[in-house]
Amino acid sequence: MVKGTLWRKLWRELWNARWQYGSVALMIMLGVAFFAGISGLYLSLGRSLQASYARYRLEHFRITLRDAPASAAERVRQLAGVAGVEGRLVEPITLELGSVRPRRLTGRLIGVETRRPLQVNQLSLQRGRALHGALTREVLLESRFADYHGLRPRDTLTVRWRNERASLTIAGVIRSPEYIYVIQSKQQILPSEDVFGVLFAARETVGALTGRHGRINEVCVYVKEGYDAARVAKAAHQLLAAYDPEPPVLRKDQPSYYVLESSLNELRSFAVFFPVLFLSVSILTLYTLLMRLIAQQRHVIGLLRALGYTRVQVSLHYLSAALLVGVIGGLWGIPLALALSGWLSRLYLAFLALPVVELDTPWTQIGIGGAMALGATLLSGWLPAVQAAQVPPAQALRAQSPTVGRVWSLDGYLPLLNRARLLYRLPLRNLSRSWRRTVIGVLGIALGVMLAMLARGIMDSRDTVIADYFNQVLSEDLRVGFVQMQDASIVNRIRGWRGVAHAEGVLELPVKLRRGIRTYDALLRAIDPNSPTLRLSMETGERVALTGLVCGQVVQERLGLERGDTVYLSLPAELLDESPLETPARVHGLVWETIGTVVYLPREQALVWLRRQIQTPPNAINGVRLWIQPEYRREVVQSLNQLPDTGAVVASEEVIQRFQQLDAMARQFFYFMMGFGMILAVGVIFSVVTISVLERRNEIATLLTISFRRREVYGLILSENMLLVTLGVLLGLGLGRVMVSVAIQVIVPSEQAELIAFRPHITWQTYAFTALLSWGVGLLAQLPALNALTRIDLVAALKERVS
Amino acid sequence: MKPVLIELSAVSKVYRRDAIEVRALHAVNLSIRAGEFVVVLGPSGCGKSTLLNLIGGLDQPTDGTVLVNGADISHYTETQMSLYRRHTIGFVFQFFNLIPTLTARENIQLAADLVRNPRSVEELLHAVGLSERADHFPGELSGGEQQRVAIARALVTRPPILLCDEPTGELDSTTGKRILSLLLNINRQEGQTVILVTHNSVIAEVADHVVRLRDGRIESETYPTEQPAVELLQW
Repeated sequence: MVKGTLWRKLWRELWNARWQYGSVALMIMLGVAFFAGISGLYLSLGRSLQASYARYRLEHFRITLRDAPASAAERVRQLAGVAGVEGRLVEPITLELGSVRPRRLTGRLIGVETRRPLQVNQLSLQRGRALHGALTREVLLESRFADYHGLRPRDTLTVRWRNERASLTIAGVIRSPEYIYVIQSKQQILPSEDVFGVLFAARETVGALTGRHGRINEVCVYVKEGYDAARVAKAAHQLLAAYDPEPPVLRKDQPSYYVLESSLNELRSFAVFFPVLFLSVSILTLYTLLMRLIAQQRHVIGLLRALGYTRVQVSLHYLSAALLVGVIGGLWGIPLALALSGWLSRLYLAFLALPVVELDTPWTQIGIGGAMALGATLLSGWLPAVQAAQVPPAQALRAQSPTVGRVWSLDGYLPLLNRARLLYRLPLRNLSRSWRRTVIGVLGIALGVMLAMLARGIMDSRDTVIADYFNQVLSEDLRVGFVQMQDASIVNRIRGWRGVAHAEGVLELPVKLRRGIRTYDALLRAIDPNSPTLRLSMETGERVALTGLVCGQVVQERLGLERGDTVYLSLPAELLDESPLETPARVHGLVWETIGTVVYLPREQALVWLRRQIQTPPNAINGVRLWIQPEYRREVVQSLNQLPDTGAVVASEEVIQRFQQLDAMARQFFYFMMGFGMILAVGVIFSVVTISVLERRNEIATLLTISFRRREVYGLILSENMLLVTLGVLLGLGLGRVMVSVAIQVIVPSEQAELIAFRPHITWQTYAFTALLSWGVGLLAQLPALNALTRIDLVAALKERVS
Repeated sequence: MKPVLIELSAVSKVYRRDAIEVRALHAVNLSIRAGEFVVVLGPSGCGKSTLLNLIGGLDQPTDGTVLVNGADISHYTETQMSLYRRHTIGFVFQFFNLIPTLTARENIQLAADLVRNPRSVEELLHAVGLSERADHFPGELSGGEQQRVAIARALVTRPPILLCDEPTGELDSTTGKRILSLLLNINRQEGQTVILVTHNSVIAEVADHVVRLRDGRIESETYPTEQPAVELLQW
């Protein structure tokens, strides 16, 4: 391909311009490392999850029943394709922790078979011992909840189910494949191990507490390999028809599984989107560098052709420059990819505390990343290489003649400037004398600016979504939930407490909505329309009055709703003694909500609807929102815990803190991305601006020779390049805005889009920071080159051929 | 009488660039015998370099034929041209055209890499008096030294024809004479055909065959029988 002497030429030229080519190699390195690193995390997480699910036999589907004998599970076992079945008795409970001033939290008590090993949803014992015997007063506690509250084996806690209470001893702490990510339902975004505890007890123990001896209300099934879980689920559902079964919940909709799969999909998108972006920018930058190299080396190309090098040999020589940069970048990327993959995998898997951890070394992805890098460099180098070969040798060996024809320049048309001294007009004229060069330079800088802005812009959007959510949903200081409906008069009682500035009753229930054949599970919030804290508005900010059913963004999108449409509301079967009753409701309004799947009704209307199905107090609520004076918080919390039927008392501040702790990892990841983006931005802007200065050697020498002062020449070059940078910054900020939108759509998988309405929102601080960074780099990048050039040997520089 | 090595028949060259047309050569007929030291004289823009480019295979005529050793190079493909230049032509340029990132030795080696049986790089460096400067880069060499490297590079592939485009144009008279002497020695001792293009009429005094060009046409051709020593030339 290229013989020894030409290789030496190539290598030395790349070394002489090492900062420019090095910055491109850096971009390629980061692209490869990011792709393979994130892919490694994705693969490790995927493998570990699948291994955990397989090892602990996470259910393939579950069917909730109204009430059935334990033998119903045995009947399901006979179906073809069933590898294992467990009948369970599952009840929502209130937990009381502590004896002196017990704290009340919500929980789920799961009664399981203890006389033999579980066939489905096996438990991984972390500390203590397993349950022995059928009727014991012992439980196994889910580990995240246990760790959060400092609970250990042999500690006791009190469980309340309706009016029944039982004191239970923690026999052991476990991890369950169902609760790797601890959330109560699929509609929740935030993990809730701080306020929601999951306990496993002997089925007989739960039966004794609830008076349902020998009964089950849930069947969990593990399907044999090679069988379609959905078909087996359908058969099981038919078999259990006598027990009023809910539609089967397949594994993909199991809450923890669902959230973790969404995370995997998000990672997969990350692994592709950002590297493709980085490599695209590196393609353009390398293309620019090579085109300029070839322009500078016209006479060298002419010489090589004159010596007898063929077009192919000349092309391959310059293509080798591109490939070399790609190989160097790719090779640098390998150790970084391995380090990144290992670090991210260990960090994330430790955070999830998976029962089975299997790390994957992404060799294939490293190979793919390397191939992508080489492909990118081939793409960037191909056109310049072809152009090099097309240079006619005779013309190339001559000094280049000026552009034929009149050169259109902008400075002649601008008022004031068109009368100014030539020195002040030259920067603008120089930009307009070669539009192609200017456009490529501006584009290169714009891409750098876009990269610097991207991660910050995504973070801004994310922070806005979360801030909106907390402002709308958690505007109160405290919230208490009741295990049974209460009369709203309790609110007046709470308002009279010392330290309570304001209190409002809430009624929140899970509901099913149906429009046509489309159904959706949502959360119904029944609110007093005259509440001073009610904030319902559209995306434009226009307020929405609560005069009937009002639906949130996500519900609207999922059911394709418009104002005036009719939907059918029903309560979930587990809340009812009889079959659910569908009630039509007209959509009165649509509101902008960033997180959650919520619908709103005026409380009076909701109560009318509820009373048709369940017995409720006349003016029922199931929670109270409180705004309090901070110094009375402890007193108020104690008083709340002493109320009858109190479920959980949640402080918004703690929720926000908890969220911030959990979010810390995601934020670290974004800071990492921001760092990447800024390094790339610096590299791109540096390359473009430095080239723009260095290729002006002959011109600078001419200006100095005809008695321009160094200061004036300095200022001329600086102002021209800063004009270039400014154009690039303006374009880049616009591109950045667009790219943030694209990134959000690509990265946020549709499953998360079900729960989050993610819109781009970029703060002025991000725009300002990005612009200042870019200008700063643009300015600083020129200084070393300018300093060197203004001290050049004028004679030597003037003799150089102009390219 | 030595055989005709290069024959141009009714060769014209027209350059077109957008609406502008420049007729560099008009129906030129020229024969050059093997071993001649030919000087092509003329003012700037007369077509000297164009003539050289056509003989050297860097360009192709608009009309007419260029025969070199009986082969018509005027219709060669690009690859044939590259091979022709590689094996038949050695170029020496006014601006030396050395690659700045290669040493003197490497600049010569660059051409040597192209052929199977090149001349010894070290011998050529010695012949041009640059053995001590072989590892210096062009930026560290004087104009004369650079031109000597260029001559050595032109010779390394053993080309039968040496084309020199204003080889002394960038040099002072003393250095220029040294270069001229070197070229004459190559012609006299090794028998290579040398075609030297210049606007300096003094240099024509040492030629075997002088071609004067004006406005793209051959104004005259002479064959001086006596050539003074290079040292006696004054410019």
